[in-house]
Amino acid sequence: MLLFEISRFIRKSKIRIVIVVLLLLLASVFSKKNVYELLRVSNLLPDNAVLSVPDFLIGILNSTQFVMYFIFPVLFSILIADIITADFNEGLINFILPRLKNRFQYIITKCTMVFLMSILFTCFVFITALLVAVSFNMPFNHNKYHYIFLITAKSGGSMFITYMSMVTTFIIGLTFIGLITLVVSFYTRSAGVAIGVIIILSFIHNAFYVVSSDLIIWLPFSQYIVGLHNHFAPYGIPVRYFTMHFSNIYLFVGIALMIVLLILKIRKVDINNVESKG
Amino acid sequence: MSEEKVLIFDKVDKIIGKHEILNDVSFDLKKGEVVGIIGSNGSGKTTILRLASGLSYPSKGTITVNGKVIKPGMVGDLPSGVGILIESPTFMQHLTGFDNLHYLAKIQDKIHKEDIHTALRKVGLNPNDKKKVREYSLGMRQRLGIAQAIMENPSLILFDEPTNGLDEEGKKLFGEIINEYKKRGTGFLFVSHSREEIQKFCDRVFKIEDRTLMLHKNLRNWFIVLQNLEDVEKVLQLKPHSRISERHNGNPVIILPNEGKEEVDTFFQNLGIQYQLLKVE
Repeated sequence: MLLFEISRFIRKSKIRIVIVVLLLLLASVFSKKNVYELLRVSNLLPDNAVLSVPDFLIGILNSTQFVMYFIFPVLFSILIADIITADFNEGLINFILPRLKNRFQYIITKCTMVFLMSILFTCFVFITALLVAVSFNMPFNHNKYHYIFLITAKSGGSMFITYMSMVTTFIIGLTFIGLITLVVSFYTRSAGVAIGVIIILSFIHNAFYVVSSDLIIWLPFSQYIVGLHNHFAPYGIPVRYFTMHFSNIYLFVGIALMIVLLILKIRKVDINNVESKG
Repeated sequence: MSEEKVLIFDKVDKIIGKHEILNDVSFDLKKGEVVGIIGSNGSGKTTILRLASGLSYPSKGTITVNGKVIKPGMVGDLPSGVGILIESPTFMQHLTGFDNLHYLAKIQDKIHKEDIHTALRKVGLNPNDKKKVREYSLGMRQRLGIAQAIMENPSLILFDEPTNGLDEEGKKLFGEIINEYKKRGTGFLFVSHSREEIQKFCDRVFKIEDRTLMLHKNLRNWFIVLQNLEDVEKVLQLKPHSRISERHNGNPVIILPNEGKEEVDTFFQNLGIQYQLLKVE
């Protein structure tokens, strides 16, 4: 069924994908100045220093307020919010389910789609960021000033592992956000409501961030921002147990919970959203 | 006809919210048999198809499809080997008919493009037609829905108002499909609000009355070939509503309108004359 889902999604969502990529491009342009300013006000950037590509890429994935709390979750939810509801609304569910062994197979395929889409979205993020970096002549090999580099070097950690951790956490975090979207859209039978919930969650995250509440460590979107963790304090949140280990457990438990919620709903539900005659 | 049952409803109740839709519904469908269910709008006909296809589960009782009991279980069990055309078929509007079926075939991935071509030709659609489904007429969509249901050669096919929107040629092709698949042992379950529409295809017809299923006499027009004109005269005397039709291979043909199969058999056996069934409408 995965082949059916992937080909159908690409065919159906071409315009949506293009719009999301364009918005990611705009977000990257915005982030260029944002990352630079963040490093400057943190006294990490010497006068007249230029932003390098590694600083820029790491900076985007740690731009908490606007990008990581708002743009990425909302754009990702727009991309995948209707992958279940469209089947119901278009009536295709009547053709899909009788071709499957059980309903679990249907839900697992959708969850796999969310995971694949999170990988694709991550690729879009990097491609658009690199496009912006190349367009603005950012140097690839230059001094690195971002606090992630400084603290990793200071603690004797491997930068490669930090890179990998950042990318995998980003993908898993997006998968979790995608599954939240899917659960809300499936339970309310509305993709619009699901996107609305993600927007509201974004505002809640931003509100907690602005008031510097430690409770922010319990919110879902905080988990996929590596630079926000205690290891990177004082730039990160100085709460002792807010570690990558904490976030990994949070994300995996969250993902499992979302999958369970989806299975509980699909297991017994009457597929009758399509207008009934008889 | 094999006695192997492809579908069994055993004392099935269906309650949605506070409304009882079906109460104590029992019937079965054998391999190669065509069963029809008639009933007014909202009587629960489509619910029976939903239950048989796993789109819905019974509140009480059991449903067995191809030997497998369909119940939610841990993972929401679904029947296998079922083709379904339920309600107005909705396809991916921006794709051609062939592309729609090709996409759906990818779910099970057990048939090839040629099988899809064959299914489309059977319903009178051109597999190479580049017209998008959004440009299809109601009849073309219905034909595509039928092709979708038969393309994977299921052992049980569920049709909701199968002749809806079909022209005379479409109905003829549909009849040919039924006959072909019946011979292969495929079981069919039709539901319709119109007795006339489905009874000509069905071996047995049930009617939904007061939320349960009752066997309904399948009254059809029987074309009987007789040996000579004396026999025709005898039949006309006893069955004044019967009519004479065109001769078949030189033998007289008489039409017995609105009769059940058992009545026709008993009538000719009691009369003691030789007869041959030409066709049923």
